[in-house]
Amino acid sequence: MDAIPALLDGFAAAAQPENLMWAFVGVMLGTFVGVLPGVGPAMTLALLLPLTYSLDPSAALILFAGIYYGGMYGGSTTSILLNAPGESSSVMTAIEGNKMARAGRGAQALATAAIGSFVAGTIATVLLIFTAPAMASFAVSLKSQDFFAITLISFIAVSTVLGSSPVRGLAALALGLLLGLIGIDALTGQQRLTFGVDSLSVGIDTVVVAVALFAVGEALWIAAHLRQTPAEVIPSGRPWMSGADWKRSWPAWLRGTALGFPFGALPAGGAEMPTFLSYTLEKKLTRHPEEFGHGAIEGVAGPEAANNASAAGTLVTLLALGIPTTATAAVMLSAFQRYDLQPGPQLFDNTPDVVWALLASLLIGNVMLLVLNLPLAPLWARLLRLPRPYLYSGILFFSILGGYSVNQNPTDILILVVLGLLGFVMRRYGLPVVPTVIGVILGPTSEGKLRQALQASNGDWSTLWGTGFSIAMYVVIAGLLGLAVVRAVAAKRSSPATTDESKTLEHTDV
Amino acid sequence: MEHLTAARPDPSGPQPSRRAGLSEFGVVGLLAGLGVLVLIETRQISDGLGTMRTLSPRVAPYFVAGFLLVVAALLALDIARGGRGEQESGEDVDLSHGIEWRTLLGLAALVAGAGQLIPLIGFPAAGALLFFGASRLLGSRRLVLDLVVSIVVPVVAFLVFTEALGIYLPIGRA
Repeated sequence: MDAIPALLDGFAAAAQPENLMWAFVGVMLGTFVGVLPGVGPAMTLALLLPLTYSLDPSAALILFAGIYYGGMYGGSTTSILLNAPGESSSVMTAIEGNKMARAGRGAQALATAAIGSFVAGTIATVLLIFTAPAMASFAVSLKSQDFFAITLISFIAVSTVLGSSPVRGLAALALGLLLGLIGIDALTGQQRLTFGVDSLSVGIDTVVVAVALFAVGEALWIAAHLRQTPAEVIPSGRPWMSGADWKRSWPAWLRGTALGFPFGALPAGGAEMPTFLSYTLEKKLTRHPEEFGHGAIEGVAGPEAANNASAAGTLVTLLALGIPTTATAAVMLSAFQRYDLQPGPQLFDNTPDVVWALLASLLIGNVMLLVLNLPLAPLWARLLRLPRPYLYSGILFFSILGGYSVNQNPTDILILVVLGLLGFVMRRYGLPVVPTVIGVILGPTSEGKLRQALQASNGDWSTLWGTGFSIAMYVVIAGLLGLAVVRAVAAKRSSPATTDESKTLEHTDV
Repeated sequence: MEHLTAARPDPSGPQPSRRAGLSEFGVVGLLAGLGVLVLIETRQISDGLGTMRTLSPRVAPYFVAGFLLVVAALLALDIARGGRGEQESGEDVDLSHGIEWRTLLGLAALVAGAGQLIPLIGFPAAGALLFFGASRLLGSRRLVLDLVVSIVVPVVAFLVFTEALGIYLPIGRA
């Protein structure tokens, strides 16, 4: 399919007043919720998912796209003005951004983050528009065993590459795969792992899992460790930048975009790696090395651009292959599934109107974010002072709203609490929650693809490594596992007593 | 790493005491216990007709059970060699003191209880109870404001969802 006319059709659909309104509502709400401390993009999406339940697919996804980009924008405001970000994608932005704010340059930090997000988001969305259909048409030629291998690579990459402990990542994945098995077996109609509980026979809704692990688990964790002294919010005015700031920012934006987009599209996607690499790169290239560690604008511009570009890159894999590689993509996939839209190679052929309206509204949403957020930044900053008891009560309240409206079943709320407590335990013992959510969502897909492959080969398992593509995937998996073993051994040797703060971050700003 | 510790009043954080190390094995127990549970449950699944030439419904659960047990063993090894889970930090998180059990368990009970009350007293009332109880548990002590916020937020959310968005939520048996 030719991308340009399809995109124009998408713009025509997205520009209808009603859809424009949904994009606007999404951007505003996404930013509003994303700014709140302790609320990351994945939680924003999970909490706001119920809003879309009664809308038609196009409007729902347009609203969701706005929430997605808005939530990410909101997160960077929080990390600049409040320090110590909750979500890993904003860690790098926070380093220099918070230093800038403390040095009275908060307005410039917010400006370079906002404009950088816009530049990176726009370029990366255009790249997405041209690469996703190409990738989808390539993916059409892939067989079931290839998709099975892709799901395996996602599992291994998400659990062992990100985070500080591969073992704990794999443990989190195992928990997710277990949760994903609960319910009726698609082939024989038998109940599996329902333990005789009636409500479990239909399986645990992925929305309930996402809300439980991201929202309830996080709220409980923070509530049990709530800081008693109010967090310090650094005042800053309306974002603006001088000519010198512009000159230092734009190359960093472009470099950040170049790093962020391809990394986002990889199975071990997400913003952790590209933002880290962007920060390191800017530190190497800067003409003001003395400012790094004291608030260098390149150190905000680069990682923030990389963050947004990787979000668009994530959508390539999600739309073209149906594989979520980050927490936010996992929640988006469950939104698609609610509308019986199956992201993957056929998506662009089966429902082109929905996809292209979504892609066009991503571009529109980006413009709206820029226009709205430069003047509204001081207002958002005031949200950071929201009394914490209300903030976390509100998160719990909207969690039961989301959990209940999925199936109108009170038992879902009990599941929400149990999984929320699981999320608490995971946060206590350093188990990342993203592999769990990916396991819940991709586990059943993986089993289904394996079945299709075996059906096609009459039960001959050697079909699994019968294609060149699948062999290549297994080689990569072996490499990833080897890397994880090396990391695990090396971590022990360097400092057996290190309990926390062993993430890559600490090695950067020596 | 000054900027990181600056966010925390007490940069020393939790120390890897003997007792803290022991509680790490609780995760091992959880994983292993779940693995055994899945093994037992999977034995009750039958292979089913027509699965000879493809994947029996028992294969994936057996695989997950095995995976849970292997990961439990690896984690035990990691902890025995001095590995410790990295507690999650955040904007409002203060890791220098221990877990506030009263808040944690109180909130969990509130959410579970409010969920069961929804079909009986309706979503707005159950939501208001949850919001008020949670605010108090989290230390808010402005009674009038707490009451107002706890009523306004659920009622407004209810109206937006039911009236503006057309999503059904029970109003309760009156």
